[in-house]
Amino acid sequence: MTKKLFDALDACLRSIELGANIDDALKHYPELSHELRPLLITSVQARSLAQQDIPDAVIRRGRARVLRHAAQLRESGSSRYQPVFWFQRLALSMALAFVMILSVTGLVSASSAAVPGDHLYRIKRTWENVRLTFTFNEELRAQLEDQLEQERIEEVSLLLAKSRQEAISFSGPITEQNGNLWQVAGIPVQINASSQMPDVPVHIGDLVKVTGSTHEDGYVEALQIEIVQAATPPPSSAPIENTNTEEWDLNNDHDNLEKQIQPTPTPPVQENNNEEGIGNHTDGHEDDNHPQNDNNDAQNENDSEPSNDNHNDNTNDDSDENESDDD
Amino acid sequence: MQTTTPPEQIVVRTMTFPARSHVHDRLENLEPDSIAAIYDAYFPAIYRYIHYRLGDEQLAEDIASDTFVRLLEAVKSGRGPHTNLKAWLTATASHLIADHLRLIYRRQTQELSDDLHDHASSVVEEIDRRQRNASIQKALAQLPPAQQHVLALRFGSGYSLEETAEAMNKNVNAVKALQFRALAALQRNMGEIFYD
Repeated sequence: MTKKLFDALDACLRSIELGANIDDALKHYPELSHELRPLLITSVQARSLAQQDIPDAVIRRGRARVLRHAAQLRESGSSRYQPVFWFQRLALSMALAFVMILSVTGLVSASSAAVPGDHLYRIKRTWENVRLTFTFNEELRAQLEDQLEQERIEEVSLLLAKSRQEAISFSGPITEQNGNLWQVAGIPVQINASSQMPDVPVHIGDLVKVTGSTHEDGYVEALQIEIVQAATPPPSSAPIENTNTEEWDLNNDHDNLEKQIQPTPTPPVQENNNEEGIGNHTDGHEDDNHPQNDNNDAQNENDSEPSNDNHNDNTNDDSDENESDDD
Repeated sequence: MQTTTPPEQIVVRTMTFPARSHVHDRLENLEPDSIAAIYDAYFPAIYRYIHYRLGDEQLAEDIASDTFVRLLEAVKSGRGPHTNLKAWLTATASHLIADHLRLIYRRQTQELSDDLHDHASSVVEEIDRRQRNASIQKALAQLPPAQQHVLALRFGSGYSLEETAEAMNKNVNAVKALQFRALAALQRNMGEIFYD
């Protein structure tokens, strides 16, 4: 019904446009006449507002104004696109390049103090890689690598000082192994059951790469320890080869590692009261004066008496042989 | 039964406009002859539309030429019409009218007492036709913008239903419904104004 009303109104409006009066227009819609008539009367009144003839002067003035404006636009457009001389372009290019160099230099400079987790840290590392790539002299390259390794250690120290937790990676020598708390390049490193350890035993003096995260309590929680370079065993450590009857093997077997971290039950022929698990494996490799060992004397006894079963979690490269000997 | 209009009669009322792509190419070059041709083709409808909305010849002249100036600037800056030049011009004229009405509204709120005095004195002196037109204009101005737009296109510019739909970017049935509601609302407004 509504659509029919709309259509009927439009048809009547068209008829009126063509010269019909309202009655003629409504002739085809008698049933809608009472609704359409007031609207058609209104439409006639509304149409009376329209200006039929536009004075020629109005049209001429408007045309002149528009054409004048078009001429101004053409003129401004042609001057705007004046060709630039080649030296102007060159100067512009050089200025742009200079600004870009300044920007990059400033960014690199600003990133020099960045630590892992900072927005600029990637830029810092990228720039370091660029420096390494373009350092062809081997000696200088080695120096640079040492410098960058030291930079990683300083970054970790800074993170620990600020009690920030960030993913880190650094390399350095093991200077201390006290239980599951090591010192790597002066950084406290916590070893736990989930830490991924190398297949071979790790000794004090070994150069290792530590991957993990800094902890707000001031140590690094190790996710992975990799041996970069094994330390040459000191002569005094020779006897340890056969001291341990039970291998302290820092391998990837977490169950085994957990067992090693836990206080081990005292073996039947145990003379050593040391309950430390991880740290003990180095005791046999170290001299008597190592400060971290509370039970150095007892362990040295073990070292000197390979026939005694030492059921501490000591590791030894030749543990298999030891076990067979024990058997 | 519905009255149908012969096609040739509709064509008589509908302006013949240049093809869009041709118009656009010529516009981009700001060629005087082309601009003049476009102006001649579109100016009357735009002028009538503005005059119908505002009821003022001087304003209609100024805003109509402003509309074409806007077209030139838009084409020059690459923001010109790409599909429908007539719809673009109508929409621009409508925006310029809205800008003008905003200014008028601010001025009226500041000088309300003076206007009332002038209006009262002028009503007495005006002839019947002008009084009636003023009342219709007042009733028209109270309509929502879309309803004013459709009535100005249909009765002011003389657009057909199809041309109005194209200019308003609506379908024909929507325009039929809109013009019905606009006339009904105008009738109510006029009744109230004449009654007062």
